[in-house]
Amino acid sequence: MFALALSSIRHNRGGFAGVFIAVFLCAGLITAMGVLIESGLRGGTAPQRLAGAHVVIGAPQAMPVPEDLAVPFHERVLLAKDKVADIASVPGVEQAVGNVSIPLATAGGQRIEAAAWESAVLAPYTLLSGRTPQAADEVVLDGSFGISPGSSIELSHGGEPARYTVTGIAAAGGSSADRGDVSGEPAVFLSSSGTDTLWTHAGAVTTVGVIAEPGTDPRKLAAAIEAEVDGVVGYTGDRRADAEAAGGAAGRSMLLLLSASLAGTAVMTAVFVTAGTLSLSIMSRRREFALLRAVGAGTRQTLGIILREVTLVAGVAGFLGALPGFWLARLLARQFVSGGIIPADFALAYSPLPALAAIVLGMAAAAGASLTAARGAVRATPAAALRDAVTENHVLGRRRTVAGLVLLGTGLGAALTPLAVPGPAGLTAAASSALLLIIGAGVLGPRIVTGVLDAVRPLLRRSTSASMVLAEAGTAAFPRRLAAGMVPLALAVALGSVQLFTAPTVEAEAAQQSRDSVTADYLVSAPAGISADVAARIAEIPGVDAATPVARSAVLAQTTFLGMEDTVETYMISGVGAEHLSSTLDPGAGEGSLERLAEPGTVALSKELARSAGTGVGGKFSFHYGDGTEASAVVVATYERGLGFGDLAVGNGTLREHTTSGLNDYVLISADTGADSELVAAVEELGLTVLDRDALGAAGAAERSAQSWISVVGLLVLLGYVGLSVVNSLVMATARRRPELMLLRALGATDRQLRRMTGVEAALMVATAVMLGILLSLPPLLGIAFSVSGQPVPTVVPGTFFALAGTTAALGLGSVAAATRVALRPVRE
Amino acid sequence: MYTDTSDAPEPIALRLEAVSKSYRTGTARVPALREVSLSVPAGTFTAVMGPSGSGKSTLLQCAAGLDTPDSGRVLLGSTDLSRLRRRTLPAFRRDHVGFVFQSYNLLPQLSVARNVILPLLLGGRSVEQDWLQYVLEAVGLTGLEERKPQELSGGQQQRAAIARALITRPDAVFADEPTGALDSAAARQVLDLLRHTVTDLGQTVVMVTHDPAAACSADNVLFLADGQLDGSMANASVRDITERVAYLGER
Repeated sequence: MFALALSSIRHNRGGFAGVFIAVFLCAGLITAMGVLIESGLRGGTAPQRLAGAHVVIGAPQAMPVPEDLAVPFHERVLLAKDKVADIASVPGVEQAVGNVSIPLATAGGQRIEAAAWESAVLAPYTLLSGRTPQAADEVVLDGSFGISPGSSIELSHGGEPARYTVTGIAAAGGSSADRGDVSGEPAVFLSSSGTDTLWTHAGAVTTVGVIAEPGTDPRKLAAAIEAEVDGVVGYTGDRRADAEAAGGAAGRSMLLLLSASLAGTAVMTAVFVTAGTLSLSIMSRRREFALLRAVGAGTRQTLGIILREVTLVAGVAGFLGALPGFWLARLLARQFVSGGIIPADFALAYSPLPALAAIVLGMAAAAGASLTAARGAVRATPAAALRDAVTENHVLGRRRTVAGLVLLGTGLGAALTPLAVPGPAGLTAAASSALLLIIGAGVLGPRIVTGVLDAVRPLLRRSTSASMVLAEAGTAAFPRRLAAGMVPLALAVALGSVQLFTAPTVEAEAAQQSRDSVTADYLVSAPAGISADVAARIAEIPGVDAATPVARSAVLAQTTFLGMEDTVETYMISGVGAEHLSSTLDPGAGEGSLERLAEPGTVALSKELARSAGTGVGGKFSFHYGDGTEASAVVVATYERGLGFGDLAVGNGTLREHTTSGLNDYVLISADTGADSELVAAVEELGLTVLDRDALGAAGAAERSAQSWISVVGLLVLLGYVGLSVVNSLVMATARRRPELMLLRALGATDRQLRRMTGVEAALMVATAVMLGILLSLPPLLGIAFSVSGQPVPTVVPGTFFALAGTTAALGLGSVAAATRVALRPVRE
Repeated sequence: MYTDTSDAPEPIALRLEAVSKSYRTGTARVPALREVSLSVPAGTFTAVMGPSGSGKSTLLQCAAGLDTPDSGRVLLGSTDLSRLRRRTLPAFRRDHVGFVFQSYNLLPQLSVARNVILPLLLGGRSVEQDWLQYVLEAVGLTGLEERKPQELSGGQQQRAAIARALITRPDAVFADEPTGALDSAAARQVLDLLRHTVTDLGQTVVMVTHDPAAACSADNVLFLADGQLDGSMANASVRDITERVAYLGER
């Protein structure tokens, strides 16, 4: 039987090439997504500063969610300092060293993390020259600064510059050459008195590095420590890096989150597009199957033959397609690095698992689609099948029609969710509606094509041009062929529009809200944050009317999604100085008074969050700070502009207690009239950066654009995939028309007429696809816009749209034109 | 005798002069036609017979301009096909040649009427409704114009194909085994129709067949063997033809 399959594959080489390419691309895309997801679970960075510690102990860095992935905390969860002694007393521990991490900035504006010299043993760093730091103003550097012992260096903390004497140069590992380039970050070690002055969380450490007694298994030791000491997590091997820099773990969670959402779309798209190509291939071979049935093959036997052929081709294609998938994953990961999602030294986790999943999914999609498409032709009596094989039926089965309508209805419902459900839940529903709508339209594809043709038929009918008449007849007789090309093109337009214009819609509203919510004249910032002292000093500069220090972080809060399910969501939070707040900030009128944030145990919420949490002024709101601290605060105010300001606000000092750096992100100042230039000069004198109102909006935009850049990259990969698949299926469909084209040529059609005929068909297909794409992208975009701004007006960038629609149209027209030319080429003798 | 180009009754619809054609199979060239010369008078029905591989289909395709001979000339009406350029040949064929295939070759997406007028459409010529109605009536398809070809019987499809060949009032209609796929009753109808177009419409028809019963409808039967003309018969009976074919096969 496999011999039959093989010879059939050999005979239908062109058609199977199309199937091969479709599954090949599908497997590649799915493999890439799988690698990213697996890396989100297992990948990470190698430990650097703690490479010499056998076990690294940290606090639980994520909030467990029942039946779901744990949600990571935004800030470092600290350990009480007395835990160091507890850990040191666990049998098998030779030495336990508490770590701190202090954000400093060089005079050149470079951010560096400084540690205490005691923790140098954990790399281990050893002195190459000089001596260890003793006094608070002494420092040991690594070679990357190019400074020799005895000279001095200026380092600022919280915007406050200080001079340090370099007492020694250290290098990691045994030889400096070996490890010098591995530790990407420059190393700075202060004396313990130096870190004590700058570390804002006295009595707490970030992590504890453990050096085990010789012969102790680090894993067993980690388990022993976890058992003996409460509330700690032991990390060994590469996982130590997660504890060392929050970046590794946070990067992994972000990677998992992003790739999971991208993969959902990508896998559905891949399966959908592959299934489309496969059913197209099967449809065009119906006559062959009818003949098989006519010579006595049973229904099951015929389906078995089809299944064997398809799995044979899809298996090989899936296997070969999985290989470039790994390469694609690396390419995507590099984009994630430049988007700041994962650190540059983040290592992807490679295993055969994603490839295996991709091959299985690709084969399943291929086999499923083939069997579904073949069923009709194979079940009919051979005579009826032979008769029907000549053209295609545009009437869809009842089940298919119902399925399509249900999908469209569900999609429309999801798009309208923001009308009823405020906040991110509604937004997510609206954003996810695009794919539902597209798949629904895809299921009803032939019916839609027929509808469109019925509408334009009167126009074409009047034409006496042979090309037009033939194109009209061809599209009417083969609606499925047309739909098979049209649907992925529409998918590209719709998905592209939704993905590309969601970001600008949110961005436009966020920028608007940011602009509206800040009434200050200037924003003052420093590379590594601004301390409370510096903020106070800024407030005293002559000409400053009001200065509001702002710290930003993120909190986790449980909210109810659609009234049924508790989910943990991340919300942005601002910690603001409550004094004179009204002259620098205007988050939009609400109830209560923001000035009351000066009182302890208070919080202000955006109206949206208050509504979805079912609370209001006078009520309570519970959440977890970025450092994991649980809080329940009295709501003292609500405000309008959650998007620009953050959904929560607390007192400045309160929030800084719960951030790792303990510093402000920036200080907003409003100036006395006429004092501007002197004021700016005075602030710059302090070594700080001053932005005026115009530059202010841009700063927020940069912060948000990292995320949208990633979604654009993901979209481009997806569109690239869809583009290649469309070209593949169009070339396949057009190549199969060679007999028809040859017959028309024998009847006297010129090549120009034939090219125009397929051209008109392609134009009809492309026009339908673009219109349908626009139509399908509207409900999600309107829903998203409503969710974000309360107005169903999405921000559409015309240039982007025309580029998207133009590329799609060019792909459709171009591949049909090229395939027609090839089909018309004389076969060489 | 039709092998001699000089003494044929005029006017001449089709003339072949020393036409040769060979095909490449692998490395060897297999001759299909060897210096065939013949002429077909206008308004006659000619059948070409011969065993498989005798070159009769090649002869027909060269005569109809569907294939180009390696050497020799093909004159259709007053036009020398070998002089036509590659680009103008399709247009000439469309307007001056009717071709009927064994497998009908109608387009499934077009109605019967559209299939019939397709050569006119392709040529950008207007449709004379009277002529269309006349042709459809002649082939017995009146009332079936809006059907799709696959909704017709085999005989009806072949008659639609003949109507398509007639619609341009061609210089000659070429038919390649037109009854090959039909049962005897449908075949009879098709042959009567071809006879009718010759007798009543004055068409010139050249038909390739292997069936003596089909060939006897023709005015003249040409015999082909090994790529060369091997005699002819006028107004032959089925029996004459059968004997002659048997003789061709024995040689």
